[in-house]
Amino acid sequence: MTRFITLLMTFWSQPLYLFLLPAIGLTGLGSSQAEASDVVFWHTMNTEETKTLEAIVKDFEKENPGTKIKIQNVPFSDAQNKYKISAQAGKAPDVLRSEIAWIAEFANLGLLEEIKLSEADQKDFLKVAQSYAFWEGKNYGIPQVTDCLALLYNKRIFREKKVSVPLTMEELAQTGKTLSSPKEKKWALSFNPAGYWAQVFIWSFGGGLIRGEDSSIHIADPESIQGIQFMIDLMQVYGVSPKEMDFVNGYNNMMTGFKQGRYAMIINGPWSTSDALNGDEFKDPENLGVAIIPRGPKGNFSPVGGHSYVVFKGSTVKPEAIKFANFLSETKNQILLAKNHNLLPTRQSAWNSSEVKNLKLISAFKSQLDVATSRPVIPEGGGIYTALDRSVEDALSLNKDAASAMRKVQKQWQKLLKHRKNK
Amino acid sequence: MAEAIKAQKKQVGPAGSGWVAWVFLAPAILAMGLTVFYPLIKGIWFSFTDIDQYSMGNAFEAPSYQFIGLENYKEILFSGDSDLLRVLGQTVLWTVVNVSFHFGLGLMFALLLNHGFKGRSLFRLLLMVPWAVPAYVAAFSWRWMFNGDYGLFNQILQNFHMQPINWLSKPFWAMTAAIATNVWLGYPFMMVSILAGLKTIPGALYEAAMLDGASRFQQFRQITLPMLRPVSLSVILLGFVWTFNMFPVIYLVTKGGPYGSTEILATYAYREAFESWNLAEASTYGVIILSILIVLSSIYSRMTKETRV
Repeated sequence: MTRFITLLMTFWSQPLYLFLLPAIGLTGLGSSQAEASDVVFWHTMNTEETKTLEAIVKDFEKENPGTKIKIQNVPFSDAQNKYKISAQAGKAPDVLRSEIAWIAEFANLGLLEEIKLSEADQKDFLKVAQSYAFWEGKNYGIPQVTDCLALLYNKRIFREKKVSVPLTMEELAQTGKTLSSPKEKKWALSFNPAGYWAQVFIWSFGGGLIRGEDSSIHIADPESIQGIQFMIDLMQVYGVSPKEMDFVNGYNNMMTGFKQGRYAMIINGPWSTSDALNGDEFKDPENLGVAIIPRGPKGNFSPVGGHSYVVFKGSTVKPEAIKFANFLSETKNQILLAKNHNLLPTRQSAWNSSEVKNLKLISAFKSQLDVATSRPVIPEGGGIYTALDRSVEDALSLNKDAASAMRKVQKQWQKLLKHRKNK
Repeated sequence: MAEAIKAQKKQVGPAGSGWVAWVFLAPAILAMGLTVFYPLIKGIWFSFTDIDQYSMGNAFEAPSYQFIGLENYKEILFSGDSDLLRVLGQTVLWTVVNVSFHFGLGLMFALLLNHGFKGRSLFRLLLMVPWAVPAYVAAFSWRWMFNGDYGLFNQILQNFHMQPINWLSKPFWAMTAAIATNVWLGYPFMMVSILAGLKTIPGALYEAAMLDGASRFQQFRQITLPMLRPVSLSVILLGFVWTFNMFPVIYLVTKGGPYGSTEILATYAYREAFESWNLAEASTYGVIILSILIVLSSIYSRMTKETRV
């Protein structure tokens, strides 16, 4: 019996991460099945993109005969937690394709290897994409793809109604009169009723999320509340968007409606263009237009997203892993992904190539990207949307007024930030 | 006589052959210890600490969380802006409505199936379908049917020239949608258990009642219900505990929304733990859920013991 107790005590003193290990299941332990010299690589690309990725990986293996790459696909929605749990336990893959907002969190937890960029690379990578990889003065990621929200529109509808694409938020508010017809279930604009989309309006009216060295919270500033109020007014006052939205199916309904011609405009990113082009309205791809999001009182704004490659601190094959991550983001490979899948490159040299310049959809997004805004680069960058989403629902369904909904976010974010500040 | 009993006790009692019993029990104790008691005790311990993702420690840094006594409990139970009461109310509503429908429908269908009629086996097969469908598959299909713009239910409403309902964006309708899904998923278990209970009631009782001139309804009240009592009580308790912690239906049908109005304690604790990484607070919620269930089920079992005939 005493022996049993000692055994129990040994388990007791183990850190928490060992206890979490079973939660990641079989796929999580890729590195244990691999040979010592293998580079394990987790990515979150879709089936189509994976085909191109596999070709790029083969090129790398041809150029580096000593190194073998083990590719594993992880669903995007699970990747953040899965990586965090396995990395905390010291068993993470050597290279991860990470959403840019996760990098600061992983770095702050001490899970990532610093990656030094050459001077040429520093100049070549777009600032908006690279800024996410910096945490406390060190660089932890190599940008693969960037994106931002823009205004996608149905050219046919605009031609038939003889109106032009709105350039300012004021003009957008007026489109309800010409483009909406609730009886026929037609509206001028649809957006996903979620926090990520709300940023567009918050920033355009001069508000903010979390800013500065001291991570001060601006979500309940009068300007931020004005932005949220404008979203409400688009639905309730101006008749630009439907009065009620399905929050659970918001994104899918926006896409379905756009493809069927129910909405003249939507706000969405480059990743959605291939889906839109599958719709009846866009059998002729020329009918899909991409424009800059209307200018608010304080300017043009759109949140920057994207993915970068990061290398695990506990990797046993660091030089190979860093070499591989760099290879994946080389100009020629970015051009390949842009051509095949409309992914926006993160290198100026890729944008300058004639091949990318000829891609119409991508070029339209570039003018939006030039005026896009970085989201807060803080460890909580991925976590802040849980509270924001909920309060945006609160405000858009008129359950709470915009001001008290945003004050609730402020409170929850204070709690979220406290953990890091206590560290 | 007394000696004989003593001898018998010695033979079967654990005193003489104790170590053999322990050997046979060891694998089960070990497995239970590792998978149930160890995490349970650790979870209770975390609820007295300030653990979060920074202090939990990792392969490169030692854990640094500290014992903070009852702080977490104070924060959740007594601070003004705690969500506990609201979420607890939603959980109780969710559980009571669900279990009532499960039991009511289960009893109705069981009584129906207990009578011979044409096509009974096909009917029984159809009624069992929800049990064969994995919860998450069912949840996704129901979510699609409740879609505000393109869902099946709204198309039916519109065919009858009625106003469509934005099911998942209104607290009342969202709760209705989630409950409908879970009722559909949960009644077959009750039905099967009650049907098995019905089969154990001796036919002689009904024959005697018929001779005494009892009506169908009297037979139901005086024979069927009392004889079903033991089965009913245990399936209701099981149903209560399962529904109280029914994570996938809420998580997939309404995502706890709109604005948290369909959140139950289990989904709320999950969000705290793995979206906000408030591990200490989530553990505290876990302990509170456990306490509520222990208290309720002991009250329940005492109540049922006292009234047993």
